Amino acid sequence: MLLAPFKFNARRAVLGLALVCIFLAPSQGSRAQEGANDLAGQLERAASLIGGNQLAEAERLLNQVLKVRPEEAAALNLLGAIRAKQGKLVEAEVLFTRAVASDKRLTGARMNLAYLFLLKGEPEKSAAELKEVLRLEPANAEAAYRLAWLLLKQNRTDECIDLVERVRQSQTLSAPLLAVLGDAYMRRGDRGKAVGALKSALELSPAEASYHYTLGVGWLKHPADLQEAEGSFRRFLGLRPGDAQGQLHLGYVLLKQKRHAEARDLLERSLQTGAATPEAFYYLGLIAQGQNEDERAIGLFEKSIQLGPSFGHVHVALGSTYLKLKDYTRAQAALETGAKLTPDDTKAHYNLALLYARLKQPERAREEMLIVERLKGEGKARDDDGDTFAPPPL
Amino acid sequence: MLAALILLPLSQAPGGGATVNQAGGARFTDVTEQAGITFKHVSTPEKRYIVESMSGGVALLDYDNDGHLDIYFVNSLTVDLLKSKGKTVSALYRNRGDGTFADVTQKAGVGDIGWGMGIAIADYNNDGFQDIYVTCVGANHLLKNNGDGTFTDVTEKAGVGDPRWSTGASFVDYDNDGRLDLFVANYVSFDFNKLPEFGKEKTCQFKGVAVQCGPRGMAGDGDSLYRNNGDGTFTDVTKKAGVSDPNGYYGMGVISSDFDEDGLVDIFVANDSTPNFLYHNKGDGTFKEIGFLSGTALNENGAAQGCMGVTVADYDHDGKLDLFVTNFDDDYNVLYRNDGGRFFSDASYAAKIAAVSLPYVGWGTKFFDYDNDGWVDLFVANGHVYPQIKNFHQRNLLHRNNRDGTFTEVAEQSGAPFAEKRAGRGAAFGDIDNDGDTDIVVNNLDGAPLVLRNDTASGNNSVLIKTIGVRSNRDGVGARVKVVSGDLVQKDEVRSGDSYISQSDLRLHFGLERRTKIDLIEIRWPGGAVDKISDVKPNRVLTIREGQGIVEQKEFKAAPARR
Repeated sequence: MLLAPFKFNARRAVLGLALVCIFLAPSQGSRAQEGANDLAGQLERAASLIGGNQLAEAERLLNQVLKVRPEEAAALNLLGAIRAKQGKLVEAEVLFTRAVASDKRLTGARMNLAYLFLLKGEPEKSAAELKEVLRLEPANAEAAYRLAWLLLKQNRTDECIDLVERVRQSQTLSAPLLAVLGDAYMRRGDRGKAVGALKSALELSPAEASYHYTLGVGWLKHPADLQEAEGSFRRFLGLRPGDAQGQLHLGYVLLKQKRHAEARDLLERSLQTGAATPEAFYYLGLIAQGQNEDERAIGLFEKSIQLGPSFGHVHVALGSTYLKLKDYTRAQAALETGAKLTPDDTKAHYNLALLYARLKQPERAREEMLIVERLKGEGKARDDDGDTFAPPPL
Repeated sequence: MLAALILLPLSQAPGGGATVNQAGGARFTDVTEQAGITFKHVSTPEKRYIVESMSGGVALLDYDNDGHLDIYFVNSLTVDLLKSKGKTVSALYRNRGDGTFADVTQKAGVGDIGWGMGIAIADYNNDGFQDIYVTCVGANHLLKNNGDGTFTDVTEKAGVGDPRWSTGASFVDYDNDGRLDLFVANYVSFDFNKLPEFGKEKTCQFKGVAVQCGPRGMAGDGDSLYRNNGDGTFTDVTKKAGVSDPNGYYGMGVISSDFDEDGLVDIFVANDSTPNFLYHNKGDGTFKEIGFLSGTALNENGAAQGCMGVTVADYDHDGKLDLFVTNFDDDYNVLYRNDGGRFFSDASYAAKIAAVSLPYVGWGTKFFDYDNDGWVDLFVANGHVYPQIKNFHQRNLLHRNNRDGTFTEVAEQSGAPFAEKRAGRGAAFGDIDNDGDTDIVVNNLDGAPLVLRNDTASGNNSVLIKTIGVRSNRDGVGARVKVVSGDLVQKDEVRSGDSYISQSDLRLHFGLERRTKIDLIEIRWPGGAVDKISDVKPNRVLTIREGQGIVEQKEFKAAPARR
């Protein structure tokens, strides 16, 4: 689940473009003030029509303006917005670019261009436009938020944090910007600052479900605080009761706390609400395994593998169940697959060592134990991160 | 009024406050005070250093050979006391045989042992009197029983005063020469001149709360094996035998058992936060560490646990001795089922002893048959190490054996003594009142211990077997005893040192349910000799001498009010 509402889909982008356009207020000089007022009125009318989806009427109005003033930046920008809304992105880009060329200080057109570049998969160009907007208008909160979000998406975490912290020095951060900052700190591994930022975001927008979700994910980072994570995911589900990802994550948290019955209930609900993920079946399998229902566990692990054949941890879980049942052939196949898919999984290698020892293959057993030891030395052992099984995608 | 008394259920019976467990019938009564036990274990309220959290062991022994179990409580010091050269007193209580004990510490000369940790008991010099080995932070003590109610500290002469921070110990005849050798586990290398700063480092934090540091982040110490020369001295054979623990894992509980039934005793060391050791005895004076390959080093996830106490028994009656280890909280107590061939499986969740243990820090433990039904149950003494957190004091656990490979935790239904929350540590088990059932003694970290008299009204029969070696060591430590009564077949071993750094009754206890005859008692002595005794009556203490059979039998003391 993405933290920010800044998503790459045409509908949102065009809506965004239209919104940006509304803030365009062309300013002109004295003698021409009357005419300028008239121009501003026309542009505002056009923006309003675009907002009401009356594109043909808006275009007619804008063409009237452009006939008189062919390089009128604000009109070009609005016409670009219409083209974007019509899905004609190439034409839209040309119009936005002309608008910017005509008036380099027209930040609205640059914002639209930034959006467009994102849609075209050109994040660097998008970032450049947003940076230019911020150079022109350092207090432009929208540009700051979008640039921060973009940097975060590009894994330029430090730049993102620097940007937001700079903005913080001159203005109060908005909830979305605080949320991006929290996410960035989380990725940097500074859970304290991440939680601080997300809590501030939640003070401003307590009903924003995604913040609760992100905070919950944060509490799951090492060292996990399961009580806090549980609280966050419960609040998230309070706002979005049927969200399958939320159910999956809360189910995971409860499983970690060995509250098997509650975890099972949530995970089964997550399956019903559409999240037939490998993780959900995996966790349900682990619960069955923990309750001595080995055959049921095997069935659930196999379903998980069907959905995600490359999900290594479930192969390991399946193999360890077969090992427990002394079905060494199946155990070997599953564990070897698991170890191949997740070579850093100590449980895979440990169970392989136990298996080879039982199969009277001491050399292979020793090799596997050496891998376990090496992984422990590298701090990759499961006990070192406090986890006994794979977390959901965080 | 009379009718009311007659109808009074056992759960409201006056005297002990204990209740009858509907599910398992366990009934234990706290008799600490009425038995005259006034010992108080010393620790600081804050426990700013790990060394102030880990003591103390307790032993049940019969030091005066009067047939009644006496109790030795190990006491510790505090950092402040150590600096000010203050002292504490460990205590020996003589069992008068009437339900009360006399403090004989001073007369016996066993009170001043410094910073005590744990204890192991055995007759190391084969003179017929049980001796005491106390592990300490600093030099350990071997207290030779003079046979007249007094002891002599012979540590220096014997050469077994390991100066490190020792924890678990076990007398063990690893070379089957009839003389008991001694294995000692060591924990952390603790420097009193460089005390770790409370709460400072990452390893001094627990769930965001500042606490004592360690053991992680601290250097550990290796272990020791001393070979008994037979002349009152021992030789350090640690390295030669291959049990030195060169990586300095944090050794805690120790237990010796012939896990693979090859006639050679093996040694298991429960290590805290590091992989456990299972030393397989190769029979040539050396051991091979097979913890990893046997499946006992780690839990089923391949993770090292915070292991503390340890006990061994054939809980599932498959003829193989299984292993149970207590652990730190948020992790489960682990049951390693012996699959034969020196392989074990983590059967903790399958046996239903895992999930219930998660909130607790487990210490002293033992498989013991509280209701004499012929199936060992399981006790765990609990208590946290950090007084800074909410659940520092914890209740103990009692798992009833369901006879199908699973257990049910019944402590909460077993009366007041099990509802009480304390910081339990060492625990020892034995029939203190010789009435045929097993009683429990727990040494608590702060203050008074707990003496729990078993008043379970099972009506079942049982037998206690005391082994006397002739060619083997005098106590018969390492002897494997099989008791057959109809379709009930049980196995156990005589062991020195188990639980958490503690010592239980060296006599073996077998419940027989309602069976009125023991068809066979088979003893395989450490030297390899086998004695078989047929048609034995239950409800008595049998003394069996190697090669001679039963040389003495005493009927259990009747306890009609409770039986």
